[in-house]
Amino acid sequence: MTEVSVRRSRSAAAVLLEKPCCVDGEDAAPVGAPRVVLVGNPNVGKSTLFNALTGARQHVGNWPGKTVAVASGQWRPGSGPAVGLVDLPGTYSLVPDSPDEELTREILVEDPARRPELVVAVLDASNLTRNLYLAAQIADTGVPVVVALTMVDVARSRGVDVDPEALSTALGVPVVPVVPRSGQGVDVLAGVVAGALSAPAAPAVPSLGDDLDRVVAALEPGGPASRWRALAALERADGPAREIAVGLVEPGTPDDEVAEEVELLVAEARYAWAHRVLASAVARRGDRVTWSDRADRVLTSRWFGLPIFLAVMWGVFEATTSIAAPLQDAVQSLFGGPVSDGLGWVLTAVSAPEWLTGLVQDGLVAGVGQLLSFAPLMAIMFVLLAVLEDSGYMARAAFVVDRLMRLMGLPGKAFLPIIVGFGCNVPALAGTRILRNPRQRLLMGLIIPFVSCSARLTVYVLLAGIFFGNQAGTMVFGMYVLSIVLVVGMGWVLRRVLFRDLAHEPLLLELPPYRRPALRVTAMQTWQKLRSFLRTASGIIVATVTVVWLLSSIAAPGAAAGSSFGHVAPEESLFGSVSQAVAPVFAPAGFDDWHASAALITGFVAKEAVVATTAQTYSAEEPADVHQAGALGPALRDTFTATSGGHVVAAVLAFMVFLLAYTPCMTTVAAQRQEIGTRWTAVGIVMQLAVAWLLAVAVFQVGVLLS
Amino acid sequence: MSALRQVLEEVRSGRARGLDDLAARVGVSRDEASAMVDHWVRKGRLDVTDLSAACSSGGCGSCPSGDHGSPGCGTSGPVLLAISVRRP
Repeated sequence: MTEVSVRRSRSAAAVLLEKPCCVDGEDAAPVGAPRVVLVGNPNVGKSTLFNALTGARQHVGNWPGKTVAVASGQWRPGSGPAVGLVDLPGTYSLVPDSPDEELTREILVEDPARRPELVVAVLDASNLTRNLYLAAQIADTGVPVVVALTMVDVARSRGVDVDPEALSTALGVPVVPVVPRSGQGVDVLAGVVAGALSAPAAPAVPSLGDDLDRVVAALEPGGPASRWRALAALERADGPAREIAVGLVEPGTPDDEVAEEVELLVAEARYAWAHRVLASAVARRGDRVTWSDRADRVLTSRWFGLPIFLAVMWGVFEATTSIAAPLQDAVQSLFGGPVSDGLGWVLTAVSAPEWLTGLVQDGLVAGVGQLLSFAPLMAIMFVLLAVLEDSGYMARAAFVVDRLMRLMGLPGKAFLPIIVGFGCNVPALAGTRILRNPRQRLLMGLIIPFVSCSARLTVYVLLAGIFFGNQAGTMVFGMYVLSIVLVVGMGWVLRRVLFRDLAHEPLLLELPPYRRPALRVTAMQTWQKLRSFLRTASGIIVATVTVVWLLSSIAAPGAAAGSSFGHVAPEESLFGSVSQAVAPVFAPAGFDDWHASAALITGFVAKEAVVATTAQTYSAEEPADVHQAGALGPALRDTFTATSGGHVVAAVLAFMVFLLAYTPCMTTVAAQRQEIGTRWTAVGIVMQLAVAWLLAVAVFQVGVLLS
Repeated sequence: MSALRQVLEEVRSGRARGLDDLAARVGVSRDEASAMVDHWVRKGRLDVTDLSAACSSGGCGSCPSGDHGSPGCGTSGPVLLAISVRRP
């Protein structure tokens, strides 16, 4: 639309309702033409009806002096004269909450010069109650009304049959079912509007009950919108209406609550009127139980909901690991063989220094190869989770988990950041802002790091694949169950120790309908997540591998004579000596080896780097072996066998548990600091390390006892 | 007590398990219960939270799994609506 036409359209809108004596533009209504306005709730098909009635003869522009857009045009209802038609903004009530709603109230009530000759009230048959509430307010203004009833087919599909004739009788105004998109019923509406304009009649008064009707009648000042004005005065409880208002409310109601109480009385009376109208004009086809209802009864059942959720998640991880295994092997073989060898050949051919060849082959290729081998696994998991989510099942899972959270004394809404945390702890920490209570946010900020994020999954899969064979999927699933137990358990403990003041917050959850997952949405979500994960993780891995390589190349004080940069035994390097210094801490947990502590140190920076660092540390020690596919497995097995005294499974489980429970990454620490402050973040880190260590020791010691 | 007040009380008590349950407890249709919840939301007494929007975009910028403001686990599918009492 050009600037000129916009100016003209604004003028046309003004003409229709402000200056009926004038004509502006060929699309505006003729001089003296009746003014008709469309009023209705948002999303009831009002604008579609407006388009169907006016066709191309319409303008859209801001209302003069307001930033409220209205569409106006010319309409010739039936064989009658043309009228000016205005599509007012969607509104739920004539007691305005926004400039849009205020405009509708102004036009119908405030300024007699703007009052239209007729209101076409567009009512949605599938949400009739809230639509009737507005219809009652419109009727109170005294402007003649014709009802255009939309969404009749939608209501019918929900088992709700609306009888237009009975509705017309109950409302005391004509009711015409229309389908704005197809134009069905528009001709009938035109005829009824033409008839209503030629013989205008005020709508029937929606009764608010004998008592209220009587006092409202007594307060009516006369003139246009008399009843509306009386009701407004009563609801404000000011002027002459004050005494009457005080008489309506419970004795002893504080002065400053009288107006609010009277407003509530009027609202109750309007809903009671709507209830009576519905009872006379709407038939509900029994308590129809849909397949969705039946599914929800099982999936959200108090007894079966949680086991089903756990079974579904087990299925996801089992399918993910079993389907991805051969693809992972293929990628690892590719990087461990042709890619590494090829790059080695190229670097040798260009006479690259030894340190560069070592960095590329032992560090970057090994690390990136490990990362890419997880791409199929992540893709399959993302697909399965996207299908669960897009179908609506995840909302049911959230419903079930929510009940568990509340059972354990956690805030009702807390499940959402927790579910987000399974993707990444960082947005989960930001998501705690949905909790209004700062103490609840603090509690959540402390327990979210125990939610097992997707970055930790890569380490679980690597270790489970090596040590648990066909049971890998079950072990990974077990880690996620343990994560939930940790979250709930720590929440339970913290609430009883540090957060006794937290009150239970009642909550009502409304389940969305099921829907068929869309292939395009699933594919898009999977690709976005995979791309983002690989992009960020590859950056972290390259940086970490380089730093680890650098620290592994520097001889630590006290290293063997002859050691120099790049020529130092791994355990005598700076990185190796720091890792060795830390390693004894893990002796009671069965993995006091510098490789393991080195992986945990880089894991503190980012869990994405753990696998790469593991590959890197073993590569530095046994270069001849790790270039072969799957060489990491035997190396890790040897390490855990040595450190655990033969109790390999217990030691590996202890390592995985420690990895699950200790600080997720530095980004999470930064996000935690932002949400709960430095002091509580420090408390959280200490708590995570302590819990992780205690659990790992417990797992190992129990494992040793049992074996 | 009117149906409108009962709706508020049921949400406050946390007894209702969903909108259908709320409607059954109050003795109105689901459509009426939904309209009354909306009424209290307009009056500032109840909150309806679309839980898909719970993760602020600010939190996702530095998330390894996030992408353009979307959390790693994704929340674009059908979601729960949480209806709760608004605290002053």
